[in-house]
Amino acid sequence: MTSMEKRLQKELQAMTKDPPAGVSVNTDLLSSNLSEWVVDIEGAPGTLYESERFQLGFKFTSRYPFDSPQVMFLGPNIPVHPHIYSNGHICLSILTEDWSPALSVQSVCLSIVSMLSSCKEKKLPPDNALYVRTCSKDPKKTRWWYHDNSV
Amino acid sequence: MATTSNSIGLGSLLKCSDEKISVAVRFSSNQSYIANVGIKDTILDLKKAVALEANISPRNINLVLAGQLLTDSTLIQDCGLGSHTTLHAFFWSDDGLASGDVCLGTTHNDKKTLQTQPGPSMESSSLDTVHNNEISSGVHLNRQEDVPQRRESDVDGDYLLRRSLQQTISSLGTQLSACTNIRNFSRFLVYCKLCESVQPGKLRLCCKQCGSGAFLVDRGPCNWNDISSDTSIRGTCKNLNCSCDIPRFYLRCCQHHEGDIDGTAVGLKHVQPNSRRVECIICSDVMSHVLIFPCSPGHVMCLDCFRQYGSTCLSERRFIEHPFHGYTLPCPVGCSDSHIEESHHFLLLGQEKYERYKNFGAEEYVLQNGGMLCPGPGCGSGLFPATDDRLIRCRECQFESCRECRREYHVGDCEEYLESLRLDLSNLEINNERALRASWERESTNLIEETTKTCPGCQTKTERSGGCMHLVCTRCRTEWCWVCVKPWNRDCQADHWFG
Repeated sequence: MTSMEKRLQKELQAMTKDPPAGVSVNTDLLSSNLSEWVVDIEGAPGTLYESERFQLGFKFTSRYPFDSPQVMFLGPNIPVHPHIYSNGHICLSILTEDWSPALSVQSVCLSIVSMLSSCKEKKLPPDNALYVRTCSKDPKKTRWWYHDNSV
Repeated sequence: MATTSNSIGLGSLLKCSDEKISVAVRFSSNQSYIANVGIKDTILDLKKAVALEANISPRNINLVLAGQLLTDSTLIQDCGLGSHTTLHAFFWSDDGLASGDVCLGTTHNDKKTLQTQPGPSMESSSLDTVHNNEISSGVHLNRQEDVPQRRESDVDGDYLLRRSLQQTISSLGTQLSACTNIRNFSRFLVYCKLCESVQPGKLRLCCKQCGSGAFLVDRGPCNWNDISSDTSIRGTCKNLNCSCDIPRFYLRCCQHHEGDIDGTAVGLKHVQPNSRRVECIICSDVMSHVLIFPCSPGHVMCLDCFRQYGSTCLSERRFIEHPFHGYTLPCPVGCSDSHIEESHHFLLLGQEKYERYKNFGAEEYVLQNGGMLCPGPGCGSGLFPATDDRLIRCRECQFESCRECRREYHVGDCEEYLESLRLDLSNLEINNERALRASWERESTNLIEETTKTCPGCQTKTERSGGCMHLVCTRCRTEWCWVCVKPWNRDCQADHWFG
């Protein structure tokens, strides 16, 4: 078993045994090597998204947890939110440059639930139309890097 | 200084033992003996072997390991000795005074002249004290022996010496009972450059001033501060010519290595045996050895995950230049005050990555301190140009570069020069090989010029393969706009954040 599988196995165990409020792993849609997950989440009571149900898709590379997972909303119901594009992409720093291997599926889900909960007005991101038309399929903020200075 | 090294055939002295090791015993006079002993032999057996060779009584020999006196009944295997471990010895004359070194020191080339210094007879009450401590079974005096008369002139000095020695022994008695097994010290782990791995460290010490290993400490070290260069531990140097009371601790790999191995093992203060069986914060496995970050929760990472964590952060240039600890990494949870405090921990990433780590660290230091890196092909030396001239000449490779555009030095405007580079395709040499290389480089240069923009902060060529227009340079931390190629501002955000 690779270290990525081992780690995800443990996360899965913890999340099925003791799931956080409003978050549950959809075990029917797990891929066999655990590299793709679907997590059902529910808007917290007393918020704009109360009792709305959404699906989050997780994709992990073999370098997880050193590489961040690719996380986006799936299916017909995408939350209308200033940081969530209508194609499911989420603008959340812990999914890109602030990712740390100490984070987990659970901490990502809780961050997203809390991002929904703190929303004051349901509206799309200002640049939604353009972004959805031009963005890459991978919502992980694309890396940029340096060429060797000496070239 | 002449050194005697003789192997001693112990034969009859040895009890049954499976494994034998060679142990070097060195007196502070630099006289050494090598004895082959079985690991199930006792320290007394070792003393007997040395005594036979040195023509002195075994009870006059005191052996010191890591600043502690070794008791006669201790088994060799419990001392954590390896083959060719050196034990330091000082001589204890029959009057209870550690005066032998003076004698040995002056006669180290002629063992037959070994003599004990004359000394006073000791009070029986003080003898009992020493004896009851049980650490001095090799030290206790035989009252039946003739005690030579001491010279009157030595009274005060000898008395003081005896007093201080008794105090040392009393405090050692309590220390040794708490710490009977010297292997306990292996909680100090080292990275051994010869084994290229983490190994238990053998803690050794010597006198800070004269370097003699015959040095007794008042207490054993408990933590890394205790064995640092400004240790609070004090002790007594048994070299009578030396009055220093400060020990210098150092670590060696527990494996046997031939030859001079000074400096090949470096202590890893954040790595410890996982005695509390804490899960790794990354893989949640419980591993035998872990790295503990110096944050207040003490987050724990296994060494495999630390290797991956370090390698990933290195290739993404996520290390930071810390004001005290240099180029380093924090705890992945993001705790404050959690940076690895000692750069040798990054040896765990392997030799090649460690070299890269050192290079990156040096580059970061140069850039953060207002310097630049030479853009000469294959150079990259750190430069701190003294003048404001646009022409910068590298001291290493003599490459001349332009301060403004960080390209080869040129006359005139940087933009015009760049344009001329793009157009100038005709100037190839006749030599085919060289022409091929030149055209390849030209292609490569053109590609870089087409696909990258330069960070307005540090001029680093930067490629953007997607995402928004707001870039943060991982080299100089400048936030800049891909469209304007200027520092990021509100207008960029309002106008073309996403293109």
